[in-house]
Amino acid sequence: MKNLRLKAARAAKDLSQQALADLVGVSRQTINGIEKGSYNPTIRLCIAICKALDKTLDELFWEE
Amino acid sequence: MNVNLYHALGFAAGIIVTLLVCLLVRCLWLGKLRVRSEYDERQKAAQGVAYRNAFWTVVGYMLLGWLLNLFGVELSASPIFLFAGVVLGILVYVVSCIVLDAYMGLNENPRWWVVVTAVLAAVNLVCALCNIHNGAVWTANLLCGLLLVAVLITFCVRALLRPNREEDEE
Repeated sequence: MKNLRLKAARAAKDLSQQALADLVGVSRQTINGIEKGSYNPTIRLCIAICKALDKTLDELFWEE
Repeated sequence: MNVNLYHALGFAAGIIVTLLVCLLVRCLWLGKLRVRSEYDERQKAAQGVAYRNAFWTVVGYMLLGWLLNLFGVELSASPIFLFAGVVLGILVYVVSCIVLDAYMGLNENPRWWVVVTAVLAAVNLVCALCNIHNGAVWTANLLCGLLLVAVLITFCVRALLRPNREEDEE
């Protein structure tokens, strides 16, 4: 399932996938995979992304 | 006299090479020349998948050799057949990694890698051509050259098929 909230949060910060990837220390393809829903990140990476985007885990990764 | 001279030169060359190797190992040990690829968590998981693909490919290849042996084909006992199995395993591993975007580390320069691989492929293929000229067709040089060419082609095709780097949807 696509993670549109992550994509929106990244766009709100005016970050490209590559910029966010550099911030959290992963490849661009990994960020792309998370947004597309083809890769399920570890909690460590989720936290790093949340810190980079100033969001909580619930806001970005919790499914209603 | 000449024999003694050559012996002395060989001895000196051995010592020099040993010193160079020791120096290289020392530098590597101290981390001065350390070049370690860094992979993220997705890439490490993808490399596991690639390793599994390569493992089962080699198992299948060995089974094929065993079947050929059962039917009286002595090919499976030749060293080049065994070496081809290793090359096949490496090929499957590398191609799988490239397709899954897990081959190049985060700190690696793809252009440098392409140049080095192309040079190595050329050297191996030239050696293979010399071997073919001397009557030996299937050699380790030929297999390594073909392996490197196949890896290069896969890498280039993958790079061409990949959408724009800043494009979100891949």
